[in-house]
Amino acid sequence: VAGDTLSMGTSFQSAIPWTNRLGAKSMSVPKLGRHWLLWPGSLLWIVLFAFPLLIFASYGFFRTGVLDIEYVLSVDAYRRALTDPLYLHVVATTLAIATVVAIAVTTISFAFAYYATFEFVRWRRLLQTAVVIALFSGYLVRMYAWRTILGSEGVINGSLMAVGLIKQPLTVLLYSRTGVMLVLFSMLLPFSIAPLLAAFSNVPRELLHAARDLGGGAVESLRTVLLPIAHKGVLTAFAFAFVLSAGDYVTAQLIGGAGNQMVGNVIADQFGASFDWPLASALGVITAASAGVVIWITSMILVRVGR
Amino acid sequence: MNRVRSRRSTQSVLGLAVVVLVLALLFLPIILIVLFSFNSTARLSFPITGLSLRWYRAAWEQQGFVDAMTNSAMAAIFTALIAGSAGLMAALGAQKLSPKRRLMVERAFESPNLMPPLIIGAGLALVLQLLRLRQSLATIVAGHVMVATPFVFASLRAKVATFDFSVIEAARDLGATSFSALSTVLIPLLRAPLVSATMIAAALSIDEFIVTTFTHGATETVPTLTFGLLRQGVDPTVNALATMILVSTGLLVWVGMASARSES
Repeated sequence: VAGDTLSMGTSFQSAIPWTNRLGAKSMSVPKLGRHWLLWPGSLLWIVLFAFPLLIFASYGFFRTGVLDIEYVLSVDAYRRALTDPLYLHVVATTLAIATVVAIAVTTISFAFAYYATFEFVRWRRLLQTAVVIALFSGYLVRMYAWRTILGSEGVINGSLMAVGLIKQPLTVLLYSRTGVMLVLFSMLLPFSIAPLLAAFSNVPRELLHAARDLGGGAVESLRTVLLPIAHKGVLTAFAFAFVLSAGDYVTAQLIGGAGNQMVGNVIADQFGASFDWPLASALGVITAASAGVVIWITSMILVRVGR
Repeated sequence: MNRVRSRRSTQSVLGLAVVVLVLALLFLPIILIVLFSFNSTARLSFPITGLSLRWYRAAWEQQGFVDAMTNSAMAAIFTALIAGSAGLMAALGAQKLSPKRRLMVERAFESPNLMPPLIIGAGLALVLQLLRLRQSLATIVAGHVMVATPFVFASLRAKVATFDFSVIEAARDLGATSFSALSTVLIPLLRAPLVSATMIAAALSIDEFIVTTFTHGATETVPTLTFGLLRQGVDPTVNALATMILVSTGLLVWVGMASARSES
């Protein structure tokens, strides 16, 4: 099931023709309708996903008054989000961090998935299991663990000071942008590795070795053989890493501290201390639109490179 | 030939480095937390001074811990049941669609995976506010279901897509109604992947933190309780709580994957 669980966004198609056969027979239960199996899922999807998303997006077109949100049509929130240097800076920083992290995560994930699938064949299952466990368990725990490791009285500093290598705790670790990026990188690895493992699992090993032995060179065979086949998997891996790092706020809060806010922190703050939901909505939509552009550009680049 | 071999071995060294680096980044931090949860003193650095269970006792005596654990367990059970059945039904239902519409439905049902949990949570919070609904265990479950169903759907879709539906035909030809064919033939055959996906849904629920912060109100789960504690400063009780979350979710995922493998 590892492969299936991994396939998340890349489920493949098959043309099993029970469509017509069973479809015709279930007409005998007209009360429930032909597609009754899809109803519960669709209902959940609409009520818990599409509708909340629509509400979130529409708040950006209301106005924030002195005491309450004024439900009148307005682009005030977008104007503030796009003109205030503070918010512009936060959005730009977030996109920059997300880009760097996503490129790094996708590269290392690609290498990991490649070696796990084609080189260390004997360890393939174990590595798959490890990645899936990391994917589904311990988000907060991992985050907290990194804080413990990087902190001024944490594992690295405490141990280095205990053996006398340093006298003062290293400050570049916690409450720094480097720390945020390091932790985002580590947290997002399984999200990127999983779709790549799924994408590579359909590629015959011999194909790659043949391409390499024909003198193509390792990198060239990756580019011309593996990348075109696994193109969608690579894009999914990048999209996961980019979207999840651009939308994360817990890392910035626990690892980055007050000086290293990301868009997610500003958005999350509006649901806690302040109530400027229109601003949260506008920032969310602006970031999402930028993410869409970045992912579209990436997909163009992948198509160009992989041929 | 020698050149090829030496290239292969450089490859393997590089490959080993990447694999070890990734595994270290994924698992060393949590191994440290598990180790420190058994530390006899409050220090969070090496060398470890001695072993004890005092932080587990502290976690147990922590205000609200038993309630949080009960809430987490209830949320996990309800999430697994709802996400499991909705995900299974949708995975089967999608098979009946034309390839084009099936792809559309798949993209739609899997799209929540590509949405930052922050936005899902914020959206749910706004809806609750709009409908004047009070935050409770039910709203926590609603959020968890939204996170878990796409995973259940995606993993079962992959299984259903390769399923041999002639056995259903046979059952129908032998006089089974479409519902009884489903429940007596199809469900048993899909049991292993269903159990596995359901266990992962439960693990996701126990682990879920971001969406929960927007839907839990005064009802604490183990992760929200842990977060509250860790924001107050260095408290080794958090190590024990974190280890409990880790063991329960890791075990669920591992057992789920193992059970699916043993049947296939």
